[in-house]
Amino acid sequence: MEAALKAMSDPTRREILQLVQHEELAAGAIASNFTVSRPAISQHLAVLKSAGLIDERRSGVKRLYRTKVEGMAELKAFLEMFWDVRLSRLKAAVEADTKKKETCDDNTKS
Amino acid sequence: MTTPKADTTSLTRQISIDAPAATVFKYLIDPELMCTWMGQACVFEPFEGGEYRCEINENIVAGGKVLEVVQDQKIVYTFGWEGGENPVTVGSSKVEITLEESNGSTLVKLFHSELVAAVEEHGGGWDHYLARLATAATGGDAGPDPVANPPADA
Repeated sequence: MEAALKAMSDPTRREILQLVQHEELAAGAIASNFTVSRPAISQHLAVLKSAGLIDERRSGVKRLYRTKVEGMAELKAFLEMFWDVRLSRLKAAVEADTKKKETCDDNTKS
Repeated sequence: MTTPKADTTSLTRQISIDAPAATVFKYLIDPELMCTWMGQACVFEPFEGGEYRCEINENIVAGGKVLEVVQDQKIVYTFGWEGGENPVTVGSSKVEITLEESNGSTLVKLFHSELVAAVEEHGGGWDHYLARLATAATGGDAGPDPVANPPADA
């Protein structure tokens, strides 16, 4: 995860990630969105690839890039666990409260 | 594009609670009741623009702004953790909790979205933070479960 975060610390790389998040693009198409040189973009793509944030696929002479799900998915997986724990506690607290109230209602008939 | 979109910027969790929505709702917005499931000290101002804040423990504090409150049905607030080293900064993502009651039970749906923006604002150093947060989240702060066994009279 460390490498992924370092890779994402650069604004150009973050923009690249957004560009290829839902659409597979060739290096040239990616570079056309930036003023920095094509070699610089290739360098950024290499960093993103080695950090596990994008996938590279060859199609003929082109190399196509797309955001890899697994890299970004780590935070998501963590948060899912975070909320699962919280929601199960919510359930336990509410259900205990409800049962208590029912008992009280039975006792006092209020 | 033939590959289906794999959305890593949002997540959905849900749980069914054996209680009416009105009861569950109280636990979402009453600061004292929020403490039974979310943290040790909580603030929830139930109106648009109100403050949301929840101390999960002394070191870890979640915060944001209330965006929407629909009585017994829905709350929406921005969410993140205080402190420079964490991956989701205060108010940078969005949490939406909806309640659907049927036959006396309530389905609680939690939708946490806009996580990409949250990640992008952050530079690095997650691992350490998430490890600490994981400890807090999975019971490091929990103490004895007050509802599991009612205290016996001594």
